[in-house]
Amino acid sequence: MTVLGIILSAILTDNFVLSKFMGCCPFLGVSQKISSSIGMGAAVIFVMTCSTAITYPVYMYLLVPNGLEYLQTLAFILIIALFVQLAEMFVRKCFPPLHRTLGIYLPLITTNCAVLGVTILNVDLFAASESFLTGYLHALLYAACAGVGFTLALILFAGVRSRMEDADIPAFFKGTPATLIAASIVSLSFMAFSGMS
Amino acid sequence: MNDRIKGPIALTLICSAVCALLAGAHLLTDDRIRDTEAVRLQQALSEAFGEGQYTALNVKYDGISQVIRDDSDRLIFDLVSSGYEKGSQHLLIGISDGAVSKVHLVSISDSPTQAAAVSEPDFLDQFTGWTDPDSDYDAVSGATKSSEGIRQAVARALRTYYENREITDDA
Amino acid sequence: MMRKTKSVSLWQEFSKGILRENPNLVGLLGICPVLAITQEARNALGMGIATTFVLICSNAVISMLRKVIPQTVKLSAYIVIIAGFVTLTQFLLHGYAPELYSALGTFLSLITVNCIILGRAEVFAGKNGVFRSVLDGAGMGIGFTLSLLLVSSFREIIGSGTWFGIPLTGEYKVALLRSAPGGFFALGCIIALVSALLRKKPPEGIGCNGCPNADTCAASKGGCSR
Repeated sequence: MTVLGIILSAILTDNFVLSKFMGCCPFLGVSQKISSSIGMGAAVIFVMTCSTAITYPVYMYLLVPNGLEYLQTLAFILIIALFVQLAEMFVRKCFPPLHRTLGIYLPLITTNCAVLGVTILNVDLFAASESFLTGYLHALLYAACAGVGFTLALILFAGVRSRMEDADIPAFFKGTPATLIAASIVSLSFMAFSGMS
Repeated sequence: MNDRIKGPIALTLICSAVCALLAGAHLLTDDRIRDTEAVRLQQALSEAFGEGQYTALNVKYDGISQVIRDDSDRLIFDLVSSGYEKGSQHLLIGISDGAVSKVHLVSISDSPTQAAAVSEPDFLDQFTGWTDPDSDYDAVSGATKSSEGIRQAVARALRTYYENREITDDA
Repeated sequence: MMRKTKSVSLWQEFSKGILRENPNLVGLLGICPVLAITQEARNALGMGIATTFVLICSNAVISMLRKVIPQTVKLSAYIVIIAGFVTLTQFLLHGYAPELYSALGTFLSLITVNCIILGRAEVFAGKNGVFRSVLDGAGMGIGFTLSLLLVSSFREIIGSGTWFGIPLTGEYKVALLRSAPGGFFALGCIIALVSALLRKKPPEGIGCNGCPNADTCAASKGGCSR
């Protein structure tokens, strides 16, 4: 996959939330305001990139040479959970203002499908690259772009939801069902990007 | 002090226990998994190329999962190609007398409309008889990436075949 | 310290997860697989069974170890145990149900982070006995599978004209339901339907009740990032 291909597919054509359906839970819960969407998004980009930075070499140099590929799920999620805990402690102690805007979202991200999803996909996509370095750099790029795509979807959605507040919706559709149907329309518009390849 | 190390120790113990159990489970199920995969491959081969004896050759080429020889001395290339997602297409491509004899799609995990479009015999049959990896072809409109993935697979099989002619003379 | 009387019957412990407190349709947990694996009812059923298996096993083990796991590493320990059962499920499916294994793909690994499993571990299994935890897991798992079946049947019948692979309406279908937007749309409709049946207002957003991160959220300002 070319660099441009990675960027475009991760952000637009194969958007993690709207196309791959990973990371939906916060998508429905957090996107009430644009400010919280940006905070959540920034946290996701951070965790996705750093998790990939750790899990990719662990897979290539620890699991594969020892025939332990089956421990992938366990190892990856453990790395993510421990990393998030450490990161949260670090941000809370050293950057208190950052903690208020971004840090509170960190624990929520441990159980985000998108983070574990991107670490697994990175290994699937790039493990067979010519050299470890090419694969590694591609993987980091993919992770960052996936986070950007996630943030983009989240922000767009916050905008849509804020408009929906004034709409006249039948009783049993109020709240989540209406949100989901709005999500389907946003997803539909992203489908248009698949023609771009 | 005691409390702070209790946590990590407990976690390490639990991790080790889980890993040990998984290693045991892996040992128990590994054979079964290999057998299942072998059976699936055999089924795909029979479906595409008819019943017969198939032997995997002990060769390894870049981008080719394995090369299989059937009892009429045809070579079948088992490979994975990428449509809309990396590794989304699993193909068996038969080559005999220097030309493609058949392209068989074992499985495809591109989205349903694209998958259906490129699974059509009309599309796959156009590759039969190919000798030149860079031949022109007709992609299915609306399924360009899936079509391209299959074309690349055929090209790769052909190139590997020509670059390694000695396997056709192999006894 | 007063001992709480067992006011919840065993049957209620089991049945609450099926409809009344359905983790997916009422609690809004574990949405990802319901959107991703529901193009075909057959695969959705498989996903439901796999998730229920992991849920029951992890609930049981976590309940057994609940007095031994230190508070500080509670969440990580739960995750390790859940990941262990997910990997076990991967082995079993790869060897005995390879088609389902291919169909589920990455989402099989993602069962590990299904909020339902971690949520029940935190909220229930970590505080209750083994037998009740198993009942709770079974009920929630069945509720989740029910939700998967409802959404996937909706998508498959209207989107492909088949049900469990059996052709029904043939040519009359709305192909869009098979693709990404269709997933969101179908789930929205099903939640509205179930809310109407239960005569409750549809859930507002991710409930804090079952969310595994409830403790951490509450500690920070505003809780649940709302």
